[in-house]
Formats: sequence, structure tokens, C-alpha cells
Amino acid sequence: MGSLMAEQNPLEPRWNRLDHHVKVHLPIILGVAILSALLTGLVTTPVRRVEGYAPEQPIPFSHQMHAGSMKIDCRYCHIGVETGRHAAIPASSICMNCHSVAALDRPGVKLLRAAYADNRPMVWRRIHRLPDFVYFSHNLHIAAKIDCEYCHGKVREMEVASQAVSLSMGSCLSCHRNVQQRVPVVLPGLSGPENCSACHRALV
Amino acid sequence: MNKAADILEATPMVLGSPSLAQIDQEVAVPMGRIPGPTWWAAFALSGLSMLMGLSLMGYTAYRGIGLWGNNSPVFWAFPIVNFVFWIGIGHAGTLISAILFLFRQRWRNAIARFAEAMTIFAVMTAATFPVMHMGRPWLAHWVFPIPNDMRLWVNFRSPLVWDLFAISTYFTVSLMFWYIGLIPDLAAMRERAPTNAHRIIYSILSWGWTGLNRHWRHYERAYLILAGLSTPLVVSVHTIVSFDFATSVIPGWHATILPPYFVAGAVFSGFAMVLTVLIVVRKAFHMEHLITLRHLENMNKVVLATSLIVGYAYCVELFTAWYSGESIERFTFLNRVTGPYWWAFALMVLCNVLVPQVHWFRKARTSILPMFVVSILVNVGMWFERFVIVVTSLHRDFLPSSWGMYKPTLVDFGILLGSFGLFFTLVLVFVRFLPAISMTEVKASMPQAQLSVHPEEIIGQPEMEEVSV
Amino acid sequence: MFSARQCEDSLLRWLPPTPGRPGDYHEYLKSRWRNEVYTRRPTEIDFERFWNISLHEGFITATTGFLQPQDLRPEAVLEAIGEYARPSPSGIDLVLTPSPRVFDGRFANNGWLQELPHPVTTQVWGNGALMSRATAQRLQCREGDVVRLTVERRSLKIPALIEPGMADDLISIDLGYGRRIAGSIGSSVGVDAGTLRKNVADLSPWFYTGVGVETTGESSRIIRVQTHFSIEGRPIIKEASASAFRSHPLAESEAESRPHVLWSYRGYHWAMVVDLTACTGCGACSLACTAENNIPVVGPEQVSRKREMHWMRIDRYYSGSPDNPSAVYQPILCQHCDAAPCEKVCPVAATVRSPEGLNEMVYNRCVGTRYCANNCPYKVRRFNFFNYHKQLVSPAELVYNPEVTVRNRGIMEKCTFCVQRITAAKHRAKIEGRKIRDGEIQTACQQACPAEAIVFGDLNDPQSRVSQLTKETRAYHVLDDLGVRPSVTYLAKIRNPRLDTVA
Repeated sequence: MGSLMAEQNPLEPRWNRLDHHVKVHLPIILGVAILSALLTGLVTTPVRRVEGYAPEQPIPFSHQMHAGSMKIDCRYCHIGVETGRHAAIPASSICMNCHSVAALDRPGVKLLRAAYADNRPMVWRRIHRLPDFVYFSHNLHIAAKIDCEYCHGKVREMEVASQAVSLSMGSCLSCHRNVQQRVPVVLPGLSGPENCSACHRALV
Repeated sequence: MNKAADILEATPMVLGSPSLAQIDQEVAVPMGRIPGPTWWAAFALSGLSMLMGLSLMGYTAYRGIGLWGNNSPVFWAFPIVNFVFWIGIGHAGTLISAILFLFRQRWRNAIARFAEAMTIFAVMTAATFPVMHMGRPWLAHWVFPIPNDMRLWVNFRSPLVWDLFAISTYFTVSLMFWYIGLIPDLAAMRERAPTNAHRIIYSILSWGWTGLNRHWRHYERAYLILAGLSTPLVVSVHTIVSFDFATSVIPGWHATILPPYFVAGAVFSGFAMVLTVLIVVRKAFHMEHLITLRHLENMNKVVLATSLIVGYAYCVELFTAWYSGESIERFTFLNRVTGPYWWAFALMVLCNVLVPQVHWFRKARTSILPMFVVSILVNVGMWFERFVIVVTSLHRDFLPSSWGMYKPTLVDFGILLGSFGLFFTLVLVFVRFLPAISMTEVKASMPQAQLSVHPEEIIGQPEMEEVSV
Repeated sequence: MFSARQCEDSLLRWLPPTPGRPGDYHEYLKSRWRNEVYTRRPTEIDFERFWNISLHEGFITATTGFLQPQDLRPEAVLEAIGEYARPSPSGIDLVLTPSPRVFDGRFANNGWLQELPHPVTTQVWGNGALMSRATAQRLQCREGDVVRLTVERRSLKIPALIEPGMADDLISIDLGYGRRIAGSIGSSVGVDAGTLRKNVADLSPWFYTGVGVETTGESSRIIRVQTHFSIEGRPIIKEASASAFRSHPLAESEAESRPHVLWSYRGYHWAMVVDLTACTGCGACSLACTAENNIPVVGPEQVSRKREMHWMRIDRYYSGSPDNPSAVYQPILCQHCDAAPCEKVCPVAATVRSPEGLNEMVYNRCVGTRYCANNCPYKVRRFNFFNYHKQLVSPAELVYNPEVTVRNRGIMEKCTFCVQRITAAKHRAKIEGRKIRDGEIQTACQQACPAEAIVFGDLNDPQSRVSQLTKETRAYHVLDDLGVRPSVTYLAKIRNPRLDTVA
């Protein structure tokens, strides 16, 4: 009455092992695999949904030309970024600084000028949006010498403006927790705050 | 030396000496029958009640916790009381099926399956409460330490997170334990399946069980391991639930007596609930010779013992509060006894300490009606014990300026009733489709199943063949 | 300069012309002085000089023609008063007072004020016939029982409100309630005591004797925010008389049991001091906090269920004899405990310690288990039982302070030490490359307190007012023996009974 290994027992029909694999092992493996995939998909949804978001704009404005080829500084148009929390989407008057005389034949510029003459604002589609309970300050990050590219990606190469980084809380924290490595230009010893009220109201 | 006599003596649990096949018959036949009007009536009642409870929970999630009576300072009330109540009930099942198994108390065989099922259903009922008592239940997944977009861990220092681990462990282990035990019975059901549909379902559920020696060995080993795993859970789960209160600063909650007090209380209320339901089920399915008066009497003894422990705990709480000399602590307990909720305290002491004392008398222990009434009263009393602990401690705590009264709303009562509905619906479905008594275990405790005895030595049972190995 | 016209000029132009009256105000004034004041000049002087000197000095001295001192006959005064002190059948007098919340009713439609508790009774959303316990017993009415007051031919039904310390045989009712057309919030709140007034000039339109009082058998709900007014011997309020304090200052015994320090604050360490001696219990701090932090008004129904949302409340405790108690007011707000019981128990870490000593409440993380509120010994946490902001019709949401998140239902909230103001100050300081100066940050409650009883600042700065006040001998912490190490220090209330007019 000892314990016998099933494989060696001549009385044991062989199809029992296959049966066992199919009825037991396979469902378990499939189950675990599907569950993991679902969970991963669920967890990464906010990131996947947002990265690469490139809505259609009323004028096919090309950052690649303006910021890239013509090397216009980000802060020339996106004003307020050094002094306040928000980086403004420029008013048409800023565009008209050049386009009162430049590239008058381009259809985009014509649309712009028509709207400007009419006193109508250009209705740009906002790309980067944080929830209301996140109080992000651009000026503090600029003051720490963090270039726009670190969060907004290589905008100078974007023909169509798109969101490069998910800007989820995890993505912000991954930099805050690792500043010196992620953004080497930052002053040594400086580190991003990790406590909640830094972004959900208050600063360190 | 007369092994047969010994074994017969050890198995007085089955009356009338049925054969093994008869046992199968008696347990399985009620399931094969179309359910009678009683079952349907009970199912309708509990089903409606469950639906009402679930829809009220949904309505709460839609409108807000304000639908309940919770306020400042009583931020926790009925739902938490219900939660602790239902988790407590689950402990009896595990005690019967796991601890008594390890102690080789054969008399638990007939009731273990049912008790374990009740544990699982009680835990399922209880688990609805932590989720739906949250202000934002759609974010309940934030309490789980799963990878998330915000790179945040949960706060492992919080007893609510410990609850999460404790209850999920408890549920998982109990479910596996129950299910493993069910497998041979499901195989038996498969063999007796009346229709094709039945056969397919039972054969999937029984996982290819064919009664091979190997299967039995794995079964026995898994059962033993899971019984061993479940045993500490009986103590640890309700200890952790008690930590919800014991680790806070509120007088009346912040006491070291809480863990053993809660565990004893859990066993107490669990046994009472098992008794309540089992008395009805054995009558309904005519299983009085399988679940005998001896079983019920033993359970009543446990009820009496735990009632004494709980009574002692009440006294210790009061004494410790007085002995501490701490004025706020003393006030809290004085307030329990003489304050605006004195009636809840009185009900609790009456039902939990005084009423079960009738079980000192053998007559009460072995008569159906008294034990049924006692079990119901104990359940009421145990619910009120949690009410007293949660509400009276909260409504008058440190700063008198924030003292206030708590008044439950109809939604609170509806959800409480609905939780009973959920529980009993699950029980009713269980007895309809699965063997409420473990055929395997009862048969295993019969004299015919003991291999060391030559079958002819047993009176009147000629049929077993010797199995050669 | 701007061709504007003095208002008196406009009046003169609009009045029907009188012969001989100058149309220009300057001339009018001069002619009046010439005719009435110049005639009483003390010394001989010509009019132009007199006029210029009067304008220059701003006053004139005259010895004749003006008020003569009279002799006062005290008996006549008492006689006059005695005429009005008619003995009344029930012996009850009535006084009508402007409400400290809605004044004469002009603020009845202001939800903030309706929900701010009355400083003495802590009643909200209504008024009542305030009377002493002895009077209530004599009239055989309990709180909430509706009584009918009759003054001459006018009567009013109003619920009774019983309060220790009220004079016997006197009923006081707040005016300003019971308005019928006061907007969506203020209509039909409370009872209009103005219906008892007489318009005939009398001793006073606010004081009546011989008021008839009878119970009606009806009852009406009185909503109080605080129902228990004794500190039950707990270490909550410390008070002393000035002489006792001078001889035995509350000293080192109050250097309280400090448990092992878990945190070290290297930058700022925000703390607050509240002076109970200065606090008058007016409630302005509570209201300012409500305004600053977008705290919802929940309405009488919810307040009666004890779900009011004020982050800062004024607790009013009585001590002494129930018929003539002395009261002390204590503003209670989140104590931002160093060893906060709430932080430990939140399962999702929605309330955490900031590196500057604040107990941060992270609204967006809260799932609403309410364990933190249970564990707070001060019960300063508030829960959004419903979505209290649903009723807003645009553009009413512009009332909200954009610097503070508006909380949805199911979320816990509490005092944040005005973290948005701290942020703004830190922001400015960081940009300007300096530290925050003491007094630069004022929390809303501090800003509104008329008695300057609240001081907020940096404990790590030894020169700050907070640091110095916490070293005072009067300083103590509420419920200190719990060991939670609050960041809010209270300064004990010192009374000087010799100067008190009421014992």
C-alpha cells in the first residue's frame, strides 16, 4: 500500500495525464494570463489614452517650423510661464506680431488674419489638461531650469502638436523622486517634493 | 479489542445504521426533487429582501452616505455593525470544519459542510459592507496595493488595509477548503445526475474525480493542509477586525481585551446562526438521523461556553475602565450602561449572557424549540453588542461639544434586512444544488468505511469488498 | 475741480424758492452764521474776520445763548421709569434684540449667516423665545414647545429656547427672522418677533412688560449645533482668575508628556496660537473659514442631523452654577497633530503629514471610509454626506475661491491652515529668493478675528509671535494627555472678576 508514482503505474491509463493538463493546467494558465493582461490594460489606460493625443487644430500650426526651423523660443508665445502657474496658449495678437507682414499667402495665416480682423479668438484645442485638483506651477519648474521638452517632448520636431508624456501622477512622481538623474541641469541638491500638498495644494 | 464495537461507539452520530448507499441516497435525493412550495416561498422572501438591500446599496452609491443615519460624531454605524456581525458569523463554520477536524472530533462530520458553506456566504455578505460604506465606492480599488498610475502604495499601517488582507485570505482559504471537500460529493452527484445538463455541470465541477487512490490521497492531504491553514484564520481574522477598533484612540474602542473578546463573540454568534439555520434545514430535509440531537447538543455547549467568555469580557471591560481611574474611560462605560443607549446595553446583556444560561440544563440543550429561540436571541444580542461597541463609543467621546445622538434611517434598516436576504438566498441556493451534508465525511466515519475492520464483524452490512493495494 | 455740485447745492436748487434765501450754499451758510451765530460772538469783531477765524479754528467759543446746564431730579427719572414698570400678570418681561447673525433681517437670505451658530445658544436656522430653566419650569414648557406670547393685543407663537444664565422671568427673542419674502434661503426661517412691536413712542419699542405666556401643546424643532455644554472635568479648557493666575501661573506641570518625536521639521513648522482670553465667541473666524474654503451650507435638515460642515467651530462651555454660569468660548479647528490619530488609520493615505507640520487632507485620494473622523479626538473632520454643491446655478459658482478644491460627496475635509495662502506666500518668497516673514501669512480665521485672538506662524523661527506665545505660561494643549501633540496651542482664559460687572 505504498505511494506509487502515477507515471509508473501500469494500471493508470495514459489519457488521464492529458486530461489533467487540458482540464486543469490549461485553464489555470489561460486564466492567469488573461487576468494579468486585463489588469495591466486597466492600470495603463490613463497613460495609453493620453500619450500621443494630437487633436485637430483650427489652423494647421506647425511647431516644427516655428519653434524648430525658425527657432522661436517657447516663451515668446506661451507667455506667463515664467511668472505664473499657467503657460498661456497665445492670443492672436502674438501671432500677428509677425503675421501682420509674414507669410500672408498661406491659407492658415489668412484664416488667422481674418479672425483677428473680426475680433474673433482662435479656438485652439487644448492638449495638456490636468484635473482641477492638481495645482501645477510652471514658473517653479522653469525657475529650476527644467526645459519645456522634459514634459512636453520634442515639440520642435512636431508637425502637429501632440502630448508626449502622460502627465499622470506617476509620471510626475517618477521625476520628483529621481530629479538629479532625470533632469541633470537642475541645481544639485534640489529635489522635487513628494508630499501630497505640494501639488494638491501647497509647495515645498 | 472488539473494533467494531469501538467504532460503533465512536459513531453514534448516525442513527439507524444506514448503509453507505443509503447515506448517499438520503443526502442527494432532496436535491433531485423539484423544490417544494416551502423552498420557493423562502427563496422568494429572501430573494426580494436581497434585491431590496442591493438596490438600496446602489441608491446609496448614487445619492450619498447621507441617506443613512451616520453623522458627526457617529461616522460609523449600521453598515460597520453589520460588517462585524456577518464576519463573526463566518467563524463558526471554520471552527467546526477546520478546528474540530484537526481535533478529530468526528461528530462534526455531518455539519461541517453546511457550516463551512455558511462561513463563505457570511463572508460574502460581510464583504459588501466595507465597499459600499465608503463615500466613493467606485474607487474601492484604491485600497488594494495593486500597480497604479499614481505610483502610490496604500497605507499599510491602517487596520482597514489589514482587514482587506485578512478577509480576502479568509474567503479564499475557506472557499478552497469547502470546495476541495465538495469534490467527491460532486462526483457522486455526477453519477446520479438526472439530466445531461446536470451531468455536465457536476462533471466540470468535480474536476475529473474518479475515486482513484491517488485522488483520495491528494484529497486527504489537501483537506488537512487547508484545515491547518483555516485554523489560525479563525483567530486572526476577527482579531484583525477587532483592530479596527482596538488600534484607535476612542475610549471604549481602545482596549486590549478586544481581540479575544471579538473572537469569542464571533464563535458565539456563528454557532448561534449555524444552529438557527441547521435546525430548520434538518427538519425540512428530514435529516434528523444524520444531524442528530447529539450534534445540536454539542453546539449548544459551545454556545454556552462562549456566552460565559463573552459575559466575562463585559465584566472585564467595566472593571478595567473603573480600575484605570481614567475619567473619560470610566465615563464611556458608565454611559453605555446608563446613558441614552442603555436599552441596547441591557438587551445585549440579556440576550448574550442571561438567556444562554438555560443551556446548563440538559433538557434545554436537547429540545428543539428552546435551543432555536436561544439561538435567535443570541444573534439579536450579538448584533446589539456590535451596535453598543460602535455607536455608544462614538456618540460621546472626548470633546463634549461634539456629542450627538444617532438615529438610523429606513435605508439603514433596509440594508440590514437585505444582508439577511443575501445570506439566506445563498443558503437556499446551496441546499438546493449542493449536498448540504458531506456524504464523503459521514460515510468515512461509518464503521463500513474503516478498512482495518473485517466487514463481517459489522452486524447486517455484508456488501463491502476488500480492496487490494 | 470737476464741475461737481455739493449735495446741499442740489437740495437748495430743488427746494421751492424762498424770498431772501440765497441759492448758493456758500452764501446760504454765511448768511446763517451772520444771523444766528455771529450775534452771539463773545468779543467785538467784524463778520468777515469772525467767519475766517471760525473756519480756521473749526470752533467758536460763546458763553451765551446756547445750552444751559439743567438740574436733574433723580426722583423724576425714577418716576418716569416706574410708570412703565407695570406689574404683569404672568410676571414675564420681553426684550426684542437684533440677531447677532441676521441683524434686523437684512441678512436672512445669507446662508452662511443662517448656518453660523448663535454665539450663546448655538442655534441655527431660526430663533426662539429664550428663557431660563426656572422660567421654563414655571411655565411647564420644554425646549421646542411652542408658546404663545401676548403683548397687549398682539400675539405670537414661537418655540421655547432654554438657556442657562438667562435672567428669570425674562424672555428674549432675536429679531430678523420669520421673513416671508427673503429669497430662496431666508424665507420662512424662524419666527418674526417684530409682530409684537408697537410703533407708538414709548419707553422703548424693544422692551415690554406684562407679557402673557401660555403653552400651546405644539412643538417646533430647535436646531442647536452644540447640545452639551459642560467640559465634564476633561482637560479641555484652562481658566483662572487673574489673582489666582498671578500667584500660581499654569507652569511647568503643563510641560506636557511629549512622546518620542517622529518628525523633524527642517524648513518651516507652521503652528497656531489661540488666545481664549481675547476670544469673544463672535464666530467671525468660523465664517471667514467658510468663505475662504468653499465650505457648503447644508441647510437646517442636515444640521439637525449633526452634519454641519464648519471646519472651525466655536465651542461654548459653561461652568459654575446652572442658573448663573460663566461661559468660555473655544475655537476648535484641526489641531494638525504631530502624532495624528487620523493619519494612521486612513487606508489610502489620503491624510498625511507635510514636511512643514501640516496635516494634509488630500481630497482626490479620499474614498470616504470615515475612519479618520472616528479617530479624531477633537472631531474636527467633516464628511460630505451628500453632494452639497449640486444646487448651484451658474454663475453662482463664481462665489467659490478658485484656489481651493470644491469637494464632491463621499470626501472628508477639514481645516488646512489655509494651505492655499501658505502656498501663495511661499511662492512669492521663493521667486523673490527670501524666507517668509512672520505675519506675512494670515489664515482666514486670523484675518477675520476682531480680537486678534488667533496668531499663525512659523515655530522654527524663534522670533515669530507664535514661538513666543507658545512659551507663555498660559499656553496649553487641548486633550494633551492623549499624546497627539497638536500644533494649535491655546492660551488659558484669565478672568478678572473684580472688574466684571456681572459676577
